[in-house]
Amino acid sequence: MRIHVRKYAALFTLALLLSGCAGRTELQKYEKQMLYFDTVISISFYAGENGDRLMEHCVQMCSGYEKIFSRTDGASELYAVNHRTEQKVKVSPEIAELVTAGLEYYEKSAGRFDITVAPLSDLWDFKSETPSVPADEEVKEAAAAVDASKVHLEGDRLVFDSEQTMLDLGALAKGYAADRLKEYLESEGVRSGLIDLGGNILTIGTRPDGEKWRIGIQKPFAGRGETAEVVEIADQTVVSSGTYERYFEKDGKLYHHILDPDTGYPADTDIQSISVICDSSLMGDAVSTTCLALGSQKAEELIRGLEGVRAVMILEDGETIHVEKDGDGGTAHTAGSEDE
Amino acid sequence: MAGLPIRQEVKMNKRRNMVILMCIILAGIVCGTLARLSSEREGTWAVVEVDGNEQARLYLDQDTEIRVGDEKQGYNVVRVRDGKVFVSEADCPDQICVREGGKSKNNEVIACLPHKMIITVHSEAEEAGQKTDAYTW
Repeated sequence: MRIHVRKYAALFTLALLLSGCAGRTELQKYEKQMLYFDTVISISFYAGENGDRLMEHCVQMCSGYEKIFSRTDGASELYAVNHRTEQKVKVSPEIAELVTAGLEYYEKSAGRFDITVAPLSDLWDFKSETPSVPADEEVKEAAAAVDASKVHLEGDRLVFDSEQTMLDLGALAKGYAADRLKEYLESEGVRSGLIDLGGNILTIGTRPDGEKWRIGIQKPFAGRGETAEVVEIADQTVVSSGTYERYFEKDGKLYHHILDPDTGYPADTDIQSISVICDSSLMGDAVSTTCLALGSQKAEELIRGLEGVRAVMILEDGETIHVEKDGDGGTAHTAGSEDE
Repeated sequence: MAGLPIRQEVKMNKRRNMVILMCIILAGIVCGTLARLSSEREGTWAVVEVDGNEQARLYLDQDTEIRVGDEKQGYNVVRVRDGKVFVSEADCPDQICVREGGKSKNNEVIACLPHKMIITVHSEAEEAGQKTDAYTW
């Protein structure tokens, strides 16, 4: 009898200990949808009891970046830079970093990716309810004001060669913000999470079950959520850019929102959508927009020259191309219309 | 019971154990069914948030209509009809939320940027069987 009691007591203690340990490492899913950067963003991650505090901090970070990078908010730092009175402006490290990245891709894309495209995008105004083709002279005039080579970074100061130059960091801000959010969550011990900033996806580790995250690529010009293909990633980012995101049709011609800084008109591209998979969301943002403007041939060359970057391109004719760095599997062409 | 022969006592104990076992199984079935029923009740719902604050939780199996905001700050009329949630009316300039149409699938979103309003659909059953974790576009 005595022995039995002891046995049960030992088992009970063991059970208690086990449940206690499990309780401490038990992770919970925290998820929040918000409106920032002109789009719907969603942050979800697995954490312990401190999850609410972590989420609160993420929200503050987003709101902080919006106050720096918004082009329309009259109180933002970028607004002040664009409405400067002197051509030498002291800027925050955040703006300096994005301008540096922007100028790097300006070089890499031979001028097709341009962070000074603001006068043109304002003129075309693809966000308006009734977008229209502007007058040709207006397009030429706006295009003349676009030139990223007139912006220089000297230490913590931006130097502009022209008063007309205006910055638009919208093509990079979401990628940058996603990277910083991930960095913060990881520093707080988060090992599994998914950051979705308006379709820019950045993952932290794997799914809680240890599997890779499955990310659907939007089928161009189809209903929202219709997938062309699913990519599996762990701890990486997928960023897409496509002509279907914002466009309008006029006289049977499609006008999309990726503008060619030289001509002032939508870039002549055979790519409908490109999804770039790599480690940094900022890089994904820059590479995807650049590739879309370049067209499939030059895009392939660019991606093959970049370390740790792969891409899925869907072309106008329906062909899907998978591009990887030389030696990492090369390029696979798949004929289109492989609809499920 | 002291008067009963040992063999009979064992038999009684067995029967009693059987009864207890049956009761436990029955209780389990009842609890399981109740839990399933209540989770089916929770099946699919939409959360309406304005500026990050939850305003309402609408179950999609019940037709309803609510109005969030006011004439001053701007308003959206959110309706549930035939298992779908949609914005039937709003005074925002772009009307994107109205044009978005009805939503009923897990993680589908209707957003009204000018009014800082988001409607998110949640469905536990669908989440469990979902093939993808997110969409890139």
